[in-house]
Amino acid sequence: MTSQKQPDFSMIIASAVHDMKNSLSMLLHSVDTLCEQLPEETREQLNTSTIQYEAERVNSYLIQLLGLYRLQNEKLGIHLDEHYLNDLLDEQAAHYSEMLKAKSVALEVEVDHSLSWFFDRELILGIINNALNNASRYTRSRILLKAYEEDEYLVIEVHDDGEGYPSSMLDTTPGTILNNINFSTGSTSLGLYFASNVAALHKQADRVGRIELINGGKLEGGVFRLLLP
Amino acid sequence: MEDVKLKKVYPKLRFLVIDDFESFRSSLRLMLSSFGAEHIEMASNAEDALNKCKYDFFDVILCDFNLGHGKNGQQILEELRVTKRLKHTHLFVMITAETSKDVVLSAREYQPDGYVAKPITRTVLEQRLGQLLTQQKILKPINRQIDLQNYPKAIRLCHDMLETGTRYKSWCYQTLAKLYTLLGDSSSAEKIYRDVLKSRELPWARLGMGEVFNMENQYQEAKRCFETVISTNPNLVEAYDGMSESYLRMGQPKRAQEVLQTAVELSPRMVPRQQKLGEICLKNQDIEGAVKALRKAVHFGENSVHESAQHYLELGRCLSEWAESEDGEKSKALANEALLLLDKAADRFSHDEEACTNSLLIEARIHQGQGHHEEAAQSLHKAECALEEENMSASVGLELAKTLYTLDNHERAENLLLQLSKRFENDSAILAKIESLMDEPEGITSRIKAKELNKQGISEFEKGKLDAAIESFKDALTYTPKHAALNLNLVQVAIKAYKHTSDPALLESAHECLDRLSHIPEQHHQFNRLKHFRKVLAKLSKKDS
Repeated sequence: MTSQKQPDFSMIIASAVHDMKNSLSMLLHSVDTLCEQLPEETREQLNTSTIQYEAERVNSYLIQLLGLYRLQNEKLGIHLDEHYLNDLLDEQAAHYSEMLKAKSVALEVEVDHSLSWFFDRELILGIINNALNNASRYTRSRILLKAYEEDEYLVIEVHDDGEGYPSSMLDTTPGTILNNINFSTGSTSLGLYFASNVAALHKQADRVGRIELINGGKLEGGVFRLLLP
Repeated sequence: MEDVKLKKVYPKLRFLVIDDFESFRSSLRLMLSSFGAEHIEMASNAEDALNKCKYDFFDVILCDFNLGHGKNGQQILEELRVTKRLKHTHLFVMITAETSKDVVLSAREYQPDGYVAKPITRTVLEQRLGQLLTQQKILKPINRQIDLQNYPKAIRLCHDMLETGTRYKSWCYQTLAKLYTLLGDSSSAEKIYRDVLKSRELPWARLGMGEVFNMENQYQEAKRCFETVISTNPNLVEAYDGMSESYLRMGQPKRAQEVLQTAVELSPRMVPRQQKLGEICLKNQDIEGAVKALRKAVHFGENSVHESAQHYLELGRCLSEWAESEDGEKSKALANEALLLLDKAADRFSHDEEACTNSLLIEARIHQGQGHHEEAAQSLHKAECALEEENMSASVGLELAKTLYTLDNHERAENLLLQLSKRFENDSAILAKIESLMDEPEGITSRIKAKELNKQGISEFEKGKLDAAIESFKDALTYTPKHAALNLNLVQVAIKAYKHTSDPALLESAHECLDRLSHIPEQHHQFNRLKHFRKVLAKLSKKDS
């Protein structure tokens, strides 16, 4: 008897995700082109930013799925290189500014121009993207994106002025976020799972990257913290 | 200040957008013109793009990695770099669905200046292009010197930039190390890598360190570096290249082949790597492996800068050898593949006389192998018409000798090799090839069997089992009767055994061996050993009579 080789399901998903990303690109382009042809009033009435926002969420999921596929297969190590934080954060802010403007949310970036760090650009962008996505969902009027160095760690924070995280999600002792993740509660879990896995891949000497969730911060809402050695 | 006014920059730049989707191209064009760009060209596939680049230089190329059929974005980039149609001062931006994977799979010298991930929105593209254009502008003085191949000047400028402080420290270090390596200054390159690694374990630096160790002949250390890289970045193909090189130089071609095979599986389209793998397979007498690799080298090299007559010919040779070692349909199929391939080569490289002659000579062997003696003689005749024996190149000479052996014209083959060994007596690489052909004009299966039996004989000899050793060497000689070292091995054992037993039959066999080596020229590296045994045997024979 010859046993037929079972196709690897995660591989199928990964390749489907590739195709979906391409389709999404096309979709976003079409929406952009359509919108440009509409008069301003109609654009506001149609609330086109919702389309962009939702598409962005889908994209964010896809990035995470691909990322998780990579982590699980361990086929691809992380690609460490030096990056400037203002480049990265400005790029993300630009990405979200249009959508947030439509929702009347102000987005600020606070980062020193000379701050640079070593990390995997795509993976970390995936985390920031997801955190911003979350914040824009739960915030009332403001979001602060902030990066600085503290105790030889790079700290990236996303502050919002919403209700804050529910107490069940708050990080009482470091490293417990993973245990508190419940996939049945919805989207945030995948994001956090992805973020804490990616953070942990960043190591320097005996120090390891991690994420933290706290309430309060500058805007007195929720704060998502990413710490990289 | 490291700041560039971009609004004024865009109108001056020439853009090329390469993507297979019409709607994608036009939306990228819209975005670029909204930034102020005025010169924007489009291409829908690699051929179109490369054609456009033939007549025009572009300051910025935006290229989708995946272009459907034909060459991908990475291959376009390689082609442009090799043909120097893309200068270091230009900007090549790769558009991908998943950047990280593509980053590690491309060789550093063929890496794009930046990546943009899909989906692309106007704001993100503006940010990203802005960053890259600013970087390119600031690094332009250095890149210009690299384009002019004025590496010492480029090195000085890098150091200047590092001294005054820059955002592009990491780029400067990488560039410095690369330039030092290009100039052969391995110790300066090593110092840079060491400094970088002192503060952080970075794959590019560890990889570079390994390459420096290879340059300095410290293969164990080199291997350790590559292992470190692979343990954290198992997809970084260049680490496998380096490790394979270390094994090769440590005299372990089997391991070298295994390692390179992994690299080839990760990125099969790199033609030079496939070609190298083919070479190593042949060293290991793995004809099937060699054919597999060379087929890919030919296939992926088609219509590219890497296309070479040598790949076709080498594949033709291997297929011909393989066909000889098989029977029936299999042999026929391999022979047909080889003939088709050589036809194609003669067609594509009709201007290359040497390649055409060699192609005919290989063709003659294939016909002979299939029992088509008339066609074989015809091909040989055609080739001979095209060449002058007195001043033919070593490559043609060796090919001709091999064909003469195969067509059972041993005497002419040996004479030819004798002449060649005199003409090229100062070229050790050519001499080695002449020797191995003289020793073993037979097909690969015979060579492999002879090699195994020879090894067996040596180990028996070392254990003192002289009779068994003699039998093994004799068996081996039935496969490759002209092999110099093998014959001399038998002589050596026979003489030793004679000293114990005084059996005249042993001297008889030794004499036979030496007689078989009458064709060995002075340049052969076994010649001194041969001379020595001639003397020894002459003495023993005198005593005996």
